[in-house]
Amino acid sequence: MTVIMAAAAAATASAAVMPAAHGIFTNNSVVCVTCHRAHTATNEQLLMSDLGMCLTCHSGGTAADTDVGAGMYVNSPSDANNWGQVGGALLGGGFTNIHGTNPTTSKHDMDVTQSPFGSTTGAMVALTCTSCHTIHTSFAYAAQYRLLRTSVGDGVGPYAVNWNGPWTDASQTAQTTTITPDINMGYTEVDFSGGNPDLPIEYTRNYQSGLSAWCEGCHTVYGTPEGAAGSPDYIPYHRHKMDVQLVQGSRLYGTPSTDLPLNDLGPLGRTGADLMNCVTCHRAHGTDSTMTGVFLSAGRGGLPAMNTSMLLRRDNRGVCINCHAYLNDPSY
Amino acid sequence: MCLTCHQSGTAADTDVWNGIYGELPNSDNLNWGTAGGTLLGGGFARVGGTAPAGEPATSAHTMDLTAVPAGSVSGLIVKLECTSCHNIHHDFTLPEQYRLLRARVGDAAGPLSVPWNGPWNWDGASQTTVDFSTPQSPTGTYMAYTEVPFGAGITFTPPDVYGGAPKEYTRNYRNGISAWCSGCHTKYMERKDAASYDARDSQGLKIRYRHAIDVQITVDPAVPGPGIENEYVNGIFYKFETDEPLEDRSGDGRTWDDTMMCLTCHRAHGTNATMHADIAPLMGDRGELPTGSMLLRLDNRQVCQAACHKVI
Repeated sequence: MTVIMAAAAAATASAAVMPAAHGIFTNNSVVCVTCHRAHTATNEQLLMSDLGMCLTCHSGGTAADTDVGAGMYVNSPSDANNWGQVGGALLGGGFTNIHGTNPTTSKHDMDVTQSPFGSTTGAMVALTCTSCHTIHTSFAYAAQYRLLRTSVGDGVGPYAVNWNGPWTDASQTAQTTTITPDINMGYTEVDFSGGNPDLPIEYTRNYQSGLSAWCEGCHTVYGTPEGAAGSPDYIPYHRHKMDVQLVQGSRLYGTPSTDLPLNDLGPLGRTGADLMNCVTCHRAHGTDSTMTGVFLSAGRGGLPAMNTSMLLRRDNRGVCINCHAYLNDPSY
Repeated sequence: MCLTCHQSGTAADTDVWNGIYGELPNSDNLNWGTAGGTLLGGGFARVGGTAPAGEPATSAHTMDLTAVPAGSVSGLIVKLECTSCHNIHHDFTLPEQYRLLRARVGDAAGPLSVPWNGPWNWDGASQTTVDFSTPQSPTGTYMAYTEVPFGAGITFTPPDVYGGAPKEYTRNYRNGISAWCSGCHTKYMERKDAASYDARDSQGLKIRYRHAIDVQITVDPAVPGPGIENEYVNGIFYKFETDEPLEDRSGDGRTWDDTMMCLTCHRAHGTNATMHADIAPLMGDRGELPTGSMLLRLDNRQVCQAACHKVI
């Protein structure tokens, strides 16, 4: 497996500015009617429709670059910039497919009323696009990543979710592979492998900080490594650390290394100081990874059965091995 | 019959066909609006006067057309005429009824009172205000039927979509307008339906949500908190300041407790607002509902964004 690790070499971020507001919203009162109705709305916030409203453009449509149904960046003419690799898989995956044609094996369920895993309040949520995204938030939080809401679920917010990108090849000082020139990496995985499965996929470095805290707005307890007995938030489970540097994971067999998405606080490019976060292992929308072998065993009570892919980026527990490669070392 | 006087005539101050206040000499010795000013309600054919001063109406309450009003669930078919809304005799028994509006209209089950505050004698300094800074001329004008533009030099919190000084839409609205409109547009007073209803917009039977009506645009600035700002997105506060018409229930000028109503966004007769070519395609299938300017006071959806919510 190719390892993307490098010395902490300072990198120069691209000066390109990613859209801070929803595309085509030009602050001229033209597009209010795209989403809102004053008298005939069928949803709260005077939204004209429900889930289908967003998917009109973002699933099989021609008016958006990001097709979250197909999990692919389509780069429609609506945006002159390349915010991802055309035809590339969306970082967040898709709700129906990934990378266009690979069927989704798990996803964030839409319009299903349920309590999120890791929620301690029992709050019932029926997810829609606007549970996570709002086109207006960004007008006040120009740096808010992906137009994510500043308050979500049980979160007391506001949660700032910062980002670094987009990047161009000039900034790719920490790569072991040669990247495609002039690709602005924002929404997609960028495959540098040329078909070689041993070469990595770059998941972009535009994650900077805040994502894990944001996810915990619904999955409230997952940010705590473990509960402390006697404390108000005591939960008798242990959890993988979040928002920790790779170098903090050093053990006998060295620092974990990965080509999965990390928070690049620097931004310095991919270094050992990068932090793992929720989307290091999980896709936000849906995944096509598959579970086999021991993962076909029984369920886990109220949690998804182990044979579900739980939005994990890699087959089986490939996300674990991707970091902790030494687990494959027979001498370990 | 009504238009004999009220359309380019010489016997009425209000020309509702061309949407302009004429202030005829000696008609009543009172100025119920600014001479040459645009009528608050706009006009059925033009707004702001005959050519070249005014502009053609882009939408109007259609006269002599038999139709079911938008938002009506009764199926009541209405053929609109002047007297569908106005009644010159009614005023003799209800002198406070605004604009000689009929006490009962459309499906209304009972009298709909529309009292008003005005007219005002503006001395140029009485603007208790949350949105206008320094009131200037004109002074001494009774404001009732027309928009009154402030003089140059007025500071208006951006975005100033009007390209200059804001307009005063008078303070004579007091209350009751929205309920009156809902005599025909019966569903539009309800913020949410208890049961599904077909709005004839091609979406079929759906529970409907609507913009709040008859609600204050802001909060008491004396109350600790975000002051005159409202929380729009969690943790983010915006000022809901506007110079569109509001109801001044306290009769104290433009203040925090004024309420928005139907005429905050719409003209009663007709508008000259224009809609960008991109808007109609963005609206999708509207079924039987219109896609045009829908009597909105301002171009595009400036009544939503630029004039009030100011989400930038």
